[in-house]
Amino acid sequence: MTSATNPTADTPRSVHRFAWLLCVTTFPLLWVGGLITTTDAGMAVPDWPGTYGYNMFAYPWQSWVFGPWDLFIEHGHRLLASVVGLLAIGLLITTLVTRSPGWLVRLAVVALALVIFQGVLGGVRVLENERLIAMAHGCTGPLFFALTCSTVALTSRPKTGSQSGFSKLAVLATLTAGLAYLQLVLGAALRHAPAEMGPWSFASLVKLHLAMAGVVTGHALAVAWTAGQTTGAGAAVRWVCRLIGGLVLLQFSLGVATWLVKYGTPDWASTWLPATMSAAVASGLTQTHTVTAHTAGGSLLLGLLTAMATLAWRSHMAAPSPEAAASTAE
Amino acid sequence: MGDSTNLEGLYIPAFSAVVATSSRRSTVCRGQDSVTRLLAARLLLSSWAVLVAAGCGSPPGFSIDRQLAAEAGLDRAAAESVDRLLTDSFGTPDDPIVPAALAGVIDVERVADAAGPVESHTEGVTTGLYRRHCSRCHGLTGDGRGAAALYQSPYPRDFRAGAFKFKSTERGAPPTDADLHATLTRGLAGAAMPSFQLLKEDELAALVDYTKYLAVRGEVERTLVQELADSDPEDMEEFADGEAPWVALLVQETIVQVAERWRSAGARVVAADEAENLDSPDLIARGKELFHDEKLAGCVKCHGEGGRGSGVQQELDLWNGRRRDFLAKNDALAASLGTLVDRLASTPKSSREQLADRIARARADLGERRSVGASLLPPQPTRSRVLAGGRLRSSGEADDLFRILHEGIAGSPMPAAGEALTNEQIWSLVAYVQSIAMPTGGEQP
Repeated sequence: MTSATNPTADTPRSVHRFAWLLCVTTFPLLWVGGLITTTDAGMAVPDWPGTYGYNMFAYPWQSWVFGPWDLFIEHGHRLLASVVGLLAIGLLITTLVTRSPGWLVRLAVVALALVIFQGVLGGVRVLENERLIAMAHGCTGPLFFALTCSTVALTSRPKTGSQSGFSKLAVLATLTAGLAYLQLVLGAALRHAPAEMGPWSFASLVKLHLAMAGVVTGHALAVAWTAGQTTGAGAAVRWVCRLIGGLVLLQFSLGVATWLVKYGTPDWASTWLPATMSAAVASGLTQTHTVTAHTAGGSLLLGLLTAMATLAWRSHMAAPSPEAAASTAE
Repeated sequence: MGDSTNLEGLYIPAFSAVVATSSRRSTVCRGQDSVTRLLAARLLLSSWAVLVAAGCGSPPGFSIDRQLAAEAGLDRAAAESVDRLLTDSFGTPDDPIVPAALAGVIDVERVADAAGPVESHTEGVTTGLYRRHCSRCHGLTGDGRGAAALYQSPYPRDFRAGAFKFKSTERGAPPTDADLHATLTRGLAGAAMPSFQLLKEDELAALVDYTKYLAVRGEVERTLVQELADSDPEDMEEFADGEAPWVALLVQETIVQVAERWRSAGARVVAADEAENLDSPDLIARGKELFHDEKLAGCVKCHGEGGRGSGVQQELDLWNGRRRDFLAKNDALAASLGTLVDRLASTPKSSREQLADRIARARADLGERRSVGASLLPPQPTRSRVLAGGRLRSSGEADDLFRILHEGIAGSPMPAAGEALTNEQIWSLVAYVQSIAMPTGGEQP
């Protein structure tokens, strides 16, 4: 049995596997949620928790699968969200059955509470047809995903052997995760801008989002570099470090592409692109998935940074204090 | 968006809390607003205010074109009266009214489908189509000042000006439904306007009618404001009061006139049925010669040698020209105000009070104009399209090109050649442009 208080100790494998399952199921849910915002399909079903008067699970599958696209993704989002909710319950049950440490049970309770809250937010967004709540819903989803990433990191096998210098990485990764979340909120504000918003307000948000993109990119690359320099970093840290480095660059490119497919080239760049380009197809594959990939990429970056921060804090806590290290050396 | 769990007992308290929060939105927002004033960072402050405002607003409404009112010298009372009369006749973005005079021009049901917030009450039927697909760029009121307008090139169209670039009708005539439908399905290459080819036909038809509704409303507003600008002060006062019977009559007559213009758009389609053998090398060569003839067709002056140019034009388009002129007049008024103020000290006491009054009025007028000027999108240069190897903004079909050359492009510096050139000469230009431009029907991304 594992320690009741020490989050650096080994945890049951089944909990770790369940945490992985929850994490990898949540990411497609975020993608589909992003797709709904991209195509403004959030009101394709007017009621909640039912779907067009049916119990959500009893809604005729033919109407769903062969129905209109926005109904397909909105109802699909609800069903997938239910699966994630059930998996969150499953994680909690697994922690109880395996008599996991108290902190892990509490973490599973928080995850379950957050997914319920997120479900309610989604429901209220539909019932109120309110964009501000849609934005809150869009910002809570990535938070839940980050929590699942953190849970995966916390329940992984701790790295054994000499470890040092993790405190700097832990602080940097935590700070960067916070910045990435702020950037995500700014992105959500742009996506959920109300119809009445004027061009100057939107432009302020765009400038903030761009400035923040530079800040997050710099910090994320610094995290990747610091992780690479940290002595005793395990395979998990090295992997996450590579993924962060690659993703942040991809995310930057996707941001540029998102603007181009949605709003075309700004006047100062109007001669940069060839005159052979045709008009983008609204809600077409290119536009929809470029924009959605950018939002999902933001969530993934947040998740990876959270996982990195979690691993770094755990390694930092597991490392012997300088005094203990000195006495061991003697 | 509704992620759902099946744990009703758990979600009810949270649900109630969120609903309660939502119903108290206005109060909370006012509180947040006062807090944000304390923040030092101006940029952060404005962004936060934007987010807060998203949940604080009353139902959206149309508002008078302030630039138009300022240009016409309308006082506040008259401007408010125009606003009120238009709301009585055309309703609001959430609850539009199609005046009876527009029967046969604009379909009431379609406008209702396009108006209001995005909703769906029947599987596969979405209403609020304008807000779903258009308002982000064209603005809720069709003023071309949507949230994302500032960084677009060219700016999204201000429907209220009533000028549409790509159409089959005479330059000064409104477009036909087919023209608007074609722009919606094709999109505009090189501009932010996407192709809405994936929308259903009834959705496209609803957007066409809503665009017409906004354009007609704008045209009625413009006509009324111009009528007022030309009227004497007594009439202006009566209009501001809004009670005199002639005011309602004027509004009705204006709507009828504008409706008639739109109704007759189909009769003003430019005939373009003489095209034959556009691949003929002789015809293309003649077209090339004309294209480069600076005195006759003069295309080369803007589109460059061989149609390869994409130069910034000296002349601005209708919308940007109006903005530039408005801002220039503000500068001129400021200079003249400065002169008046300088003169005040040397003015004899007897006429000083009169001059002071004049200065106060000029200052108030300039203040209002500056406030309007600050809300305008900065004038943007007009760029000619690269024709050689480029994708044309119009369909590129021969008859479309003929009409564009014949009538020019409404609202843009592209002139009408119909007066100066014969139809045969225009067809030769069509043949040349088609020979150098990207073939039509290219792949969509």
